Amino acid sequence: MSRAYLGGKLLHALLTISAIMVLNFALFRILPGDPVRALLPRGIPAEQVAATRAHLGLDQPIFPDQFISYVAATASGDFGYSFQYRVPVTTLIVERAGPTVLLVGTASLLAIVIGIVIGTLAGARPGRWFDSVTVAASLVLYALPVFWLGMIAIMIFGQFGFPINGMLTPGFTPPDALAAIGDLAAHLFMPALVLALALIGQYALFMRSALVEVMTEDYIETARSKGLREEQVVIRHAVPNALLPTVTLIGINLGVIFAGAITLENVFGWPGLGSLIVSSVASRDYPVLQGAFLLIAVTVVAANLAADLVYGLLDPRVRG
Amino acid sequence: MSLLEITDLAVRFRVPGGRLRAVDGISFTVDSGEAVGLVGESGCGKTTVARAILGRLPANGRIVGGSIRLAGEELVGMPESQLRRHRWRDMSLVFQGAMNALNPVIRVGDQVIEPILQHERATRQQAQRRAAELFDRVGISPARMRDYPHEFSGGMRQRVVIAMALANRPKLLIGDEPTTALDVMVQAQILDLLESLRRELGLSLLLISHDLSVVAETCDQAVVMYAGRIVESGPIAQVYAGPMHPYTEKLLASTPDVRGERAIGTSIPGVVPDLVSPLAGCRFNPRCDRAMTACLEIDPPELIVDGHRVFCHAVTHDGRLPPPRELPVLEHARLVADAETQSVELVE
Amino acid sequence: MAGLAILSAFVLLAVTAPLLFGAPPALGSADAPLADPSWKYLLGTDEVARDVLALVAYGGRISLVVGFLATLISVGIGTLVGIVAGYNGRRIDTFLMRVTDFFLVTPALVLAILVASIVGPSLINVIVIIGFTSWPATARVIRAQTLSVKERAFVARSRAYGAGAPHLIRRHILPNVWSLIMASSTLTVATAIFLETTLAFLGLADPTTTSWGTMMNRAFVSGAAGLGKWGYVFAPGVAVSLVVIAFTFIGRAFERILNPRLRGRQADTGAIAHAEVVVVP
Repeated sequence: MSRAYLGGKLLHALLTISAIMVLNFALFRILPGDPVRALLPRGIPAEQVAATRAHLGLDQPIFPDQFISYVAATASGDFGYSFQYRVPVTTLIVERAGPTVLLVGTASLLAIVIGIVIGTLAGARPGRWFDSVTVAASLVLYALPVFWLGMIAIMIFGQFGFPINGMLTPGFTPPDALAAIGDLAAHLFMPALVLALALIGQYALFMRSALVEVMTEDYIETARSKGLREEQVVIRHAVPNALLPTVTLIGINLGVIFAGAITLENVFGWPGLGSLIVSSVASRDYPVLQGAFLLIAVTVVAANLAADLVYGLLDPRVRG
Repeated sequence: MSLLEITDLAVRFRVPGGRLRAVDGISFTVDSGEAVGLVGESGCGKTTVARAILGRLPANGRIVGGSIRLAGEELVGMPESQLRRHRWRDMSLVFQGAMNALNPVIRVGDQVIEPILQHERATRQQAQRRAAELFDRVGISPARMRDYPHEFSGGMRQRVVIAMALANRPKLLIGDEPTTALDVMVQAQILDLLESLRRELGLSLLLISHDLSVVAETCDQAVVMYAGRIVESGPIAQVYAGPMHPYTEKLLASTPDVRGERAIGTSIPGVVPDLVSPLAGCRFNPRCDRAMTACLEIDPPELIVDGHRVFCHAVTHDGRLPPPRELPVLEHARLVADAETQSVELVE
Repeated sequence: MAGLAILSAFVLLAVTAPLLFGAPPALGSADAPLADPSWKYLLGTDEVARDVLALVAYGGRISLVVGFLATLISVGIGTLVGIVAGYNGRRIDTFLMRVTDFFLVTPALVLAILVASIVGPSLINVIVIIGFTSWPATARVIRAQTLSVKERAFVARSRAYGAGAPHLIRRHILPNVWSLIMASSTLTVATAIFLETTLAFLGLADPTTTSWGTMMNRAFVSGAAGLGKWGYVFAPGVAVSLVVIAFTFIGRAFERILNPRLRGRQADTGAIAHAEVVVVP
């Protein structure tokens, strides 16, 4: 991959992250609504309010003082303290990031693998029943709100005794590692399944379209003329080409996945970043919200960057 | 016995307007080691012939008559699984627009090796060795086998495609407009390459082109097609020196000769006919300047003079064409134009 | 055009809600809370004993109105940005596109949540927030079309005659871009409704008005899911899904009609790509 390509993408990502930081900062200072007042209960004497404001550093001029301290703090990883939990935001986020990664990772993996396979099968024979069903089902799945699916899942699977809340059974000390994993898996099952379902449709549909388009290319006809069986033509020649745009989709989708994860964690009581955000919204815990937003946004940018880089590695036309 | 024998081949396409007879009863042969050129303008059915031979007609096309015998084996009606085994082994195809015939994400070497491994019991190493030889033969350094298609120029890609076509040492190589879209210098190189390969490997060549000069350079025999039918065929020298069909004559005349007089070549007035509801009789008759009443109703008969074959009403027994008459519609137009310029009264 | 049929049914329902169900369902107006579906209450009742079916009808009004208004804002901004970027080209274009890309990359829902938590829940806020986060998709598409129209011969000719920017935009670009705006709008409405539903579910919408999202929020909070109250849980979700599907179908149909005239990828990827860059909750 050429230096220029890599450099360009990196620069772009850095610029975006800087812009996000500025946005993060600006949002709380510029939007209407006084965070300090929203924070404290009514009827607090004015000096108290002023003191709180000073304590939070919100009485200083926004620019440059507040901005500089913000940048400095962010650079050193200090996001302040959570109003609600009274612990450093960073600690809180780190603690909650793990479960979210687990959930999002599992669901993505499932969705990507199954979605691509289904999309390939559908695209290889467009117009046949499998294809029509796949397209229709994907569109429908796409329209269903993820959290609603979650609630339905609870209704259905709850009957079977699948745990519907939390990540681990409270008060349960697993006798060994296997049991611990089993407990985790039982809890992970429903949320991951629902999140995956929401995404499968997208991947399937995209892969299908990409494949259909690739199959109209000349080199596919060449492959067939060479005497290859249809499966060989599809798998060896068509799929690698169709995977290229699909890879970028994976990166782009991460933002979408997070959105789904946020609501889903709320539904299942999954102790991840999503439910943290939701509870912080309710309690107006701005430092946490700021920190979480920054983290998620940076992750999405990083994921996009990674997708671009991976594409650059895979497509020989860009590589060379 | 000829290597390729096509007898009365008819191919029909189902189109929105009805059924299109793209190929309507043609017969010709290609002998072992011979190079035959299939000539005609776009839409005359020549590519369809190539695809029919390989059994790779598009979904709406079907062979509805005739036979294609390759080394004695009948290909028409052969099940797909069997046909697949013949493809590339006994006959291979160099496509039109070969630039895009290569998969952009697979190394060219692997693409050449693929048919070898597919059809023969070779190890990967053996296949690689043969591929390297082929690359060498077509004039590309074998070191470039690990490169990707986009790293080659158009002409080089064409060579790769030729190497790929020869991978299984086929007896027959069909080239469908192999030099279109290449500039003239590269064209000449590719043609030379095909010629030398033919001599070295004893290949038979079926070269399809709309360009007469290309065919003249490489082929022994010429087969001229028009609107799905053969109008003339025979040894190259004879066909070019003394065409027996008005269409061939016009075709040859429309190619400007560098050494000839300075004159803009004549084009053939009119358009290719509608093949969904073709005319009765000779299909060329609306554009022909020797057209007679018989041409409008009766299929032109075959006449063979010294291995030179033609389908025409107007040609004499010893293979000569009468002098051209002016087309009625053109004559009228000329009269009108003259009258206008000279302000002479029209006398009908 | 099943899409149109479904949509019309919902719009009709929303509009005639007062006629069918009388006044908006008030608290405790029905007999029992969280009742199962019965002949009297076709979909059962909610946790404060209101008729679910009536709620769906009324909720539809809110959801649809919010969707439409937000789309108006979104498409408005998107078209403006798209045309300005496409028409002016070079620096302005690059700058605007950077901004657009930025908003595309930033996870819209998170941003929306952030903003909503600051400005507080209210209908207007929700509409504005959705409008301001969903415009990038439209902007991209409009810009592409503007660029292609700009290159066409008749524009060059008009320029040669000394036509100025407003004239060109009005006479040439807008007509060609119009159908694209329509197609983009239908898809945007779907995502706007989605976004509203999600925000409402998370408790960020106006608690005094009942939209489908709010219904789902209450259904969840009251534990209806765990209790297996099918009617209450299913109804709003199905409603949202159907409306979104309807709009998606219409949008796809639009794209299929327009596709031959555009240089774009297939209708399927187009619709998905367009919608996905906005938000999927």
